[in-house]
Amino acid sequence: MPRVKFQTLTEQMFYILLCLKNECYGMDILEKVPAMTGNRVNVGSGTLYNLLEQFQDAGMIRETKVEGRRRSYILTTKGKEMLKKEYDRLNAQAEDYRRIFEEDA
Amino acid sequence: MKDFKYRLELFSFYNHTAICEHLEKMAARGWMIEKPGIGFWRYRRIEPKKLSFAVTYFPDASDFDPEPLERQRRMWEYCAEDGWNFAAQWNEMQVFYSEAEDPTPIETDAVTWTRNINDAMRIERIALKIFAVFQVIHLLSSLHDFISYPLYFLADQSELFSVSINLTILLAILFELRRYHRWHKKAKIAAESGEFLEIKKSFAVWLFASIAAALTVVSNLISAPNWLTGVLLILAALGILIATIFAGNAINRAMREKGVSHRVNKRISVAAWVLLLVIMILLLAVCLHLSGVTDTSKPVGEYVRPDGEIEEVFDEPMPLHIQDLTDEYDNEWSSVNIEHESFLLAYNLYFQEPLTEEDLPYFSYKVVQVKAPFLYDYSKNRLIKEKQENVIEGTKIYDFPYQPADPTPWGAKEVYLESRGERDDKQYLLCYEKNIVEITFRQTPTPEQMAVFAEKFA
Repeated sequence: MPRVKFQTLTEQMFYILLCLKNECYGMDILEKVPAMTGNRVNVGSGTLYNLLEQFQDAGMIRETKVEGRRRSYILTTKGKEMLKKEYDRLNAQAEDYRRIFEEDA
Repeated sequence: MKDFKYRLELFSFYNHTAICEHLEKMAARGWMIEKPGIGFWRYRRIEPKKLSFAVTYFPDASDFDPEPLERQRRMWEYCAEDGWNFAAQWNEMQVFYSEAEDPTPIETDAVTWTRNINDAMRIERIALKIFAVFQVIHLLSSLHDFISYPLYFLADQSELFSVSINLTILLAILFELRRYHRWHKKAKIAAESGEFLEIKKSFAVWLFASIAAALTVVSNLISAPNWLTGVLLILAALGILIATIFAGNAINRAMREKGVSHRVNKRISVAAWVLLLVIMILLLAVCLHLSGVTDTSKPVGEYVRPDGEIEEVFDEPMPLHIQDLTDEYDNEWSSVNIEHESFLLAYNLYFQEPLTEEDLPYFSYKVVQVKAPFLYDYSKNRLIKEKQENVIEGTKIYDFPYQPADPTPWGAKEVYLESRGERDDKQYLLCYEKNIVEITFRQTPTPEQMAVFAEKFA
């Protein structure tokens, strides 16, 4: 069953939103995500553009500044809630993992 | 040395994998994509180099836009920031290249990527479905013709050709749509686990369709009686199609350069494509008419009737003339044939009209020559059935079916006779090895006359 848009977040979505906790230029996210994840996660430029557009349309981020063609964004309350929901979901997954393997031990 | 070249490319619109591989090979050979499009892609010469290509889809982009959309430009800038330079666009399809050794892909989120492709393919899918509906309508019309006049249909080379082309195109479209739907279904599932589902080389579908269409064309043409005319017609039709595509694209490009809005450009371009196609087809028809290729009957003289009415006189070849059967009529005759011939059947009608004021009978007969043996029984039974079901304008006018008759004096395999009485016309169906002849006599033919048929048609 395909996911409903933004009901859960992909890894790329999660890290892009994470970068926008503080105001940030969209383009800077291309470098921020690999730096944040020790190069484990890279965000492609097309993906970044598409997701920023979709997040903005969904009210999860808002544009804060336009300098020429550079635009900066920040998380909205809704975006923070989505990020928190995803964080809780991941924690729940991690907790389930821990419980199952501790039972085995 | 040419700086530009066009190549016929048969990629599925969504098959970014095959497109990228192809463009990388072209760049290594010194050709950079400049304008992809329907059929022909334009390349410009560059220094041969190893480049990486990426194809992505921007659902709102269109070739009718006077300028790239603001949001589209922004996406290009994001890509440029990551080392991906914009190379070319074909509606939603955006082509980028990178000189980096191992660049980060443009698309790294499988879910977004799959959704994007599906959005971009919406118009393509609608267009394919509309095209398929046209093919189905054409095929249904052909089916109707086949059911109504099967032998005439099977002897019509152009009908057979048209059906085989329609069918090939329809199958290719259905295969392409099914292939896309299957891929998209699997891609959505794969995307849930972060995987990008690659696309197999689906250009093979169109390659197959083109080869099948070409083989159909060739096989139909070489077996047709006037194949050279057919070849010229096909070449002219291909020329028209290519000229229409190029001219339509030139109009679109000119309007874009003049800054004409998307809506106006789209309407004018589509209207221009349709108009150009109609004009070129009309031109072809006029040229054919003027060249006389389509004229099957050419008069050899004129006959002036006593009342002053002028009739054209024809002297077209016939396998059997009335003079072969009797020397009773020593007047002049005008002979006309209406021949239809395909690689399956020949369906020929022959008429001889007396050029005299005497009350002489018209001499006419039908010859069905069966070239494909498996159609012999069908053709014979169909002619017998047509006799039983002879309906004109909804009214059944004959109710006298064929009855088997003695084939020996005719030198035939089988003979059928329809006769309503001694004083009425007698219609015969004479079945020879390859020919089936249907002919009507006022009186029972003599054994000598019957033997002439054996000589001409056995």
